[in-house]
Amino acid sequence: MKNIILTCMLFAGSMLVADEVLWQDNFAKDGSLQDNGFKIIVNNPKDSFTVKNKEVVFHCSNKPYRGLTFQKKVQLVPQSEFYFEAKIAAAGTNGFDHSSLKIELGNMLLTFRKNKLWIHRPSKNDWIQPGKIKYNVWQKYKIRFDAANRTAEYYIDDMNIPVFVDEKSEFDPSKGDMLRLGNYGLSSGTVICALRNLKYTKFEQKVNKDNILFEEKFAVDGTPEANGFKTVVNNPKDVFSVSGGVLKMVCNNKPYRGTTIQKRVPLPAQCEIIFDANLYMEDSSGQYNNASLKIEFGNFLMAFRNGQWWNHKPSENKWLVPAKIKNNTWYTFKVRLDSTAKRAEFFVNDMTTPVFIDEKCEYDPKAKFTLMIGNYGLARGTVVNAVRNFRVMKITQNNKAQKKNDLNGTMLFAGMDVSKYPLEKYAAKFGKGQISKFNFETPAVNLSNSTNKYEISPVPPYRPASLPQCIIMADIPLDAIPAYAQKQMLEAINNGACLLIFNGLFTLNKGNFHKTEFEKILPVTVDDPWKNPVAGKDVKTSYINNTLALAMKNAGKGKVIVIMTPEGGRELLEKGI
Amino acid sequence: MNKTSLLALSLLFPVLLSAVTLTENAGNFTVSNDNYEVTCGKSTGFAVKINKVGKTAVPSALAAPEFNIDNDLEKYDGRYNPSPASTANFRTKAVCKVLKNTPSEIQLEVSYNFYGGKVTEIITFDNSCAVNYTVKAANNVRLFSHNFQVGMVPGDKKGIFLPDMKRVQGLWQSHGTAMEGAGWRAAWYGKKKTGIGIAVPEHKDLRGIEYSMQGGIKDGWGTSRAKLTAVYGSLQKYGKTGEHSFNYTLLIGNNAKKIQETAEKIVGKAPENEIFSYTLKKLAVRPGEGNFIVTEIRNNSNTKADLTLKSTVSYGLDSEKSLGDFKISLAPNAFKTFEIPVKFPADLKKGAAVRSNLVDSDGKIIASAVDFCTVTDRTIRDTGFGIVNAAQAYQEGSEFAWSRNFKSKYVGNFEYYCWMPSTIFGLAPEEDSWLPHTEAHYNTPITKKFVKALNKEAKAQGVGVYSMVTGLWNYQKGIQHPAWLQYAKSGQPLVYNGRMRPNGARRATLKANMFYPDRAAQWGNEMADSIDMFGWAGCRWDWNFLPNVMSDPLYMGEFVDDWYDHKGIPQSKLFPDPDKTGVECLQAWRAAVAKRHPDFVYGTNYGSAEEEWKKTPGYHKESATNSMVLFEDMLGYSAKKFSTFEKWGSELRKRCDLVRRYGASPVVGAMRGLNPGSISYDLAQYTSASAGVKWMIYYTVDLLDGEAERNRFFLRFAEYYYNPEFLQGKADNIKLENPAKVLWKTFIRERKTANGREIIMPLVNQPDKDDFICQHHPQMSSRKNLTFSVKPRKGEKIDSVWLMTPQSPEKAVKLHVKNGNFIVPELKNAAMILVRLKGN
Repeated sequence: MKNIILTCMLFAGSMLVADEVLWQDNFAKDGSLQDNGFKIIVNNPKDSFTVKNKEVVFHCSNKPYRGLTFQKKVQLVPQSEFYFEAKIAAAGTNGFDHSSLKIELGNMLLTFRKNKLWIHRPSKNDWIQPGKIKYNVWQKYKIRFDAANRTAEYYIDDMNIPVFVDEKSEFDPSKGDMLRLGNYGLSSGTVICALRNLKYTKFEQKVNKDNILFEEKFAVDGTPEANGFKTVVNNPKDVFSVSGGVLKMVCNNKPYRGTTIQKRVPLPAQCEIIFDANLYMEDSSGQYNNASLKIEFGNFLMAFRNGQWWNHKPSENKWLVPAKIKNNTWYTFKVRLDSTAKRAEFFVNDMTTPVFIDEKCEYDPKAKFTLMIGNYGLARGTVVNAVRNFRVMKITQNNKAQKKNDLNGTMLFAGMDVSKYPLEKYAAKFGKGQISKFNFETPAVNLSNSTNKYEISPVPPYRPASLPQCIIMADIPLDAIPAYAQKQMLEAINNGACLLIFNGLFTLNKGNFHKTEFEKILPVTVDDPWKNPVAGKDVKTSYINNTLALAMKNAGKGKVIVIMTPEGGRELLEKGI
Repeated sequence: MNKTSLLALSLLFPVLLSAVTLTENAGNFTVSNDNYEVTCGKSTGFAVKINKVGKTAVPSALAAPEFNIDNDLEKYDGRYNPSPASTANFRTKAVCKVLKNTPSEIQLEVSYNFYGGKVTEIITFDNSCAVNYTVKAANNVRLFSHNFQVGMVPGDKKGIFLPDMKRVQGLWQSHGTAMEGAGWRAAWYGKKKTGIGIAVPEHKDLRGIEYSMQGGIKDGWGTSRAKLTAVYGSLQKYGKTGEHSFNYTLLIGNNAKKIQETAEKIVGKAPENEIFSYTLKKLAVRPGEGNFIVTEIRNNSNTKADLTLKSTVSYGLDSEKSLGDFKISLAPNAFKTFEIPVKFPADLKKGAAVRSNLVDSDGKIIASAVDFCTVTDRTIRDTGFGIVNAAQAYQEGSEFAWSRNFKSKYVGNFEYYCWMPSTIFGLAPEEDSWLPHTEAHYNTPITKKFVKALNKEAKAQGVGVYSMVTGLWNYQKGIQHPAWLQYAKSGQPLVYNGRMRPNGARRATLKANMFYPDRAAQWGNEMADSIDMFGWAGCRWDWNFLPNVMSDPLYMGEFVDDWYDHKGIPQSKLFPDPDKTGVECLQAWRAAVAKRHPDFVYGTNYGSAEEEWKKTPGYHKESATNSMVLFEDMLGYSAKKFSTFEKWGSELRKRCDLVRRYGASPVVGAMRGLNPGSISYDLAQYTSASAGVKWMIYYTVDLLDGEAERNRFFLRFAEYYYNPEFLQGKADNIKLENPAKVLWKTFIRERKTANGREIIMPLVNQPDKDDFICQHHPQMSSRKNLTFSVKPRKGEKIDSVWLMTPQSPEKAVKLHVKNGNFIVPELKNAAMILVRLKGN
């Protein structure tokens, strides 16, 4: 599950906030749903609904696949948040199996059964289960839709941390404008559900205009020239047009030297480039080969080709691949450039957590002075790419980390074979709040080298909202973690965080800790890769069967615990150590 | 919805009820008559979707032309030929026009562009069960096919359309079985009442009709789907320009008799009595074992048929003997399948052709059929080699079909690649189901039951299955045996190349330290356990026991940096004589297997270039001894040094000679760079066989390519193509008097015989222009009247000269020799010449 901090999506002076309630229903009138503006559309004489004390109570009889259903027209928008409170199976849970309350919001169908929230996927006619629910308890639910990016975040009770992020959400306001409430499914008896406090809110992107250095909204329908661009035609077959704020680029085959549009833009040493792009929103080539969209910002060249976002390294004439993307999907891309620090951070949709950080970025604002958008690469036929909402923003103080002593959450670095380790239990014991998980992966290596190559995915944020309260490294070599993140970890420990290291085949003595700052704070020795770690002096230790099981040492305001047991500390938990 | 007035008229005048009607909807047209109801898209992609057959609603029924576009390089530029591109009409934008709309005929014209060119389809509907297609396509078409498929009838568990009324075991994205040439085939639902079919008349490019059941391998396996495909190709042999035109008919209806009558109007009636299918049960039999002719004989007449099946076997060069007569009596309109045992002559060795003539009561031959097999104690030497991987081959119920498809291409051995959970301590898995070891990301569950049945079904068809073996630990099993791992200097276990993710997408990853004879023997024992469990015929290694070189055979000539054992001792200290270590370990492994399974074939994959032999001569020799050797690195025919058929063929021949000395049967991989159906693909395979090296075929090659034609020829004359007894030889005393663009010197070899020697001279025709492998070639000219002269050595004289060609694969033809000269009348693609010399 993707970790997204939703309450405060900050980026370079722009902010997504819930700001306009489009409609809500508090079921103010006691009586029926009709009294509250709903129309009955499916009748089932065995079912009954009543509204009392601002709650609607559904009596759902057996076999109600076509149960009593009411609807009313509502306004639905792509970026929105739907909130409600529900009590499922308030009575009649004995034998309850498939019966449920249903809520339909446009083309989204929600049901509640088998202790789970169920969401229907219309295209595949299947269901996903975002989270567990409880019976006979009022629970809060929130769904945050972003139809443009096909995401939906599901919240149950905790309105800050989603229980599930659906990255294939099919919510589409153009495919329905009805709110339907009713019974659905099948039960062996009668069940009772209740619903209250429906609220539907629209989001809009607020941008601090002071921070905008350049903005291209493609406001004039027609040609790029009408929007102030100069067109350099290298391929007469390419046709660029602007409509409804979208630049569409028809890209024909063999456009290695395809047509581009150009504009002078400010190129500061530190800035963020933000834009939406849709690759292959039309594709008549049948089988695409290497066609691409290019966006060149000064000497910073990005190419978007079949399923990948590429960034060119001029000195090596090589390409980085910061992210994988899907064809025919709108994404918001952001690159945070810092030519002084030689750093580029790449973001896709989630504007807080980078998907990739290049610490040897070659962006040079003095190299070129032009923004270029165009065709690049090779296609067998014709593809259409699109760009909208291009902005260059100042980097502001908003992005800096919060107070260093404000510790929150757990960073969990999970090694290759730690699925049986009780890591969540340790995280709950030593850290409060959200767990951010980073996985150990091995990319391809040169076969003749007797060395390993590894990395963690995703990469930790360069500027986290807060430092972690708990850090877990479960069979992770230290050098898998980027240097900036190591620095953050040391800071966190110094300020009171707990570092837990679980032994394995890739860590401690074998984990390249020797001669690092971390070695100084470890409670065990790590100087010989061919020996087992030994507890240092003045450290707390626990032994199982005369074998070192745990070693602990204070470090700054925090502490470092090394767990040596073969089952990742399970034995220690069982023994209450 | 905008309906035509025709429907209203037909309601007023019942006599017109049987007319064909057209209804125009917002996005499509609906055409219906008594036999069917179909819809055709108007603009956004076009295909005929069948809604109803008769009155039966059918799901997922689609008829769609599909084009395969030739992307072969116009001129060699150092790359492999790019893969062909495929496009179906329903994926593209089309313009559909109504050309004709009368009660008796409706005609639609559909036109669209795709990157191969412009296409026009004329689709004609009338009140019969026939839907006629005329398709015209512009240049660059490599393959044209028309897919016609239908899903299960909903609500009817047995509502499956059966191709030719049989459950045809198909394989995902591959054909089940096929009929060659013009004809018709239908898939039937229920008691032959409802059918969809395709009738294809003669056409110069027609290959035939493939018919299969996709996903319908057995009841309960997902959506059953019958598929019929008319296949035309390989069109690129005729060049990349010019218009292609195809004409064929879809058959849709609920009256079997009408469908048959309509089809017969198009392709002619079936003969009164026919051999409908014909095959030998086993591809390879052991000496003295005998075989079975399995044949379906059909009596299509209304009278009883008394027939005789007279069978003969051809073997050696031109020996022929009778296999006896088999009496058949069939009631009117009866179809019957017979399994007829045949006993081969005692002197029959290796390739044989069994021909049966169906003879009527007057002694007249009314039909004839032929199939090929081999009588051998070493299938790996005398038949071809293929490969399938665990991403495709895993569905229970499909086991038979894998070996059937290889057998139908005359390939008697195939490797089952990456099937095991771990290649060390995973060859005889305890669990009943697992995710396979993988160098790719195969998330296909393999069951023990499947692997057992795969072997059993293959054996029953005279085909051997080879297990892949490689030195990679499954991650879980590896970390349970830390002393058997290789380590980096950092003390970490070494992880093989490739992306490994924690979700288990890549499982076999840890490098093994198996360079001790006792460990190797334990591993060999595990292989023997695996043979007990599954019945493998052999294995194909993708690893080696040399501790100091790259474990990937593609890079075996390259040394690795020091790695360490679990105590931190570098391999250079542990194994100061790597070649000796390799030999001892390989011998230990092979001995452990051979002790329990002496016939098991050890196969391997290594770079066999001379310079590599010099580095580790002992290991190369041990690996080659009575084994199968894959020259994977010889796939590099895009490289300049192997870029032409001659350069590549010469190197193959050289390498083959190196391993043949030790009894090895070499194979060259087929996984990349050339496209089935192309001239390059055809000639590359003739080149490799002429060099004595088998071409490892990939299972997907089907009707498009002449795989079966080539392999039955090599199987029949394996004595000359694949016999390790033929080694060195030169063209010193042989001349081609009228030089032509033909490879003939490159592959000359000889062997000693009791009273002299035999020279083989494989011939491979060459493209008219250029001779690069990775390049588009149109069909080359036949070479006529090639005149060779042979000057025997002192004391020798020519006994006889024989010509073997793929076009006449049953027997060799004896050539007339005069003054040491003989003439090959015509060389189409390849041939084998045998010169027998007496004396000395």
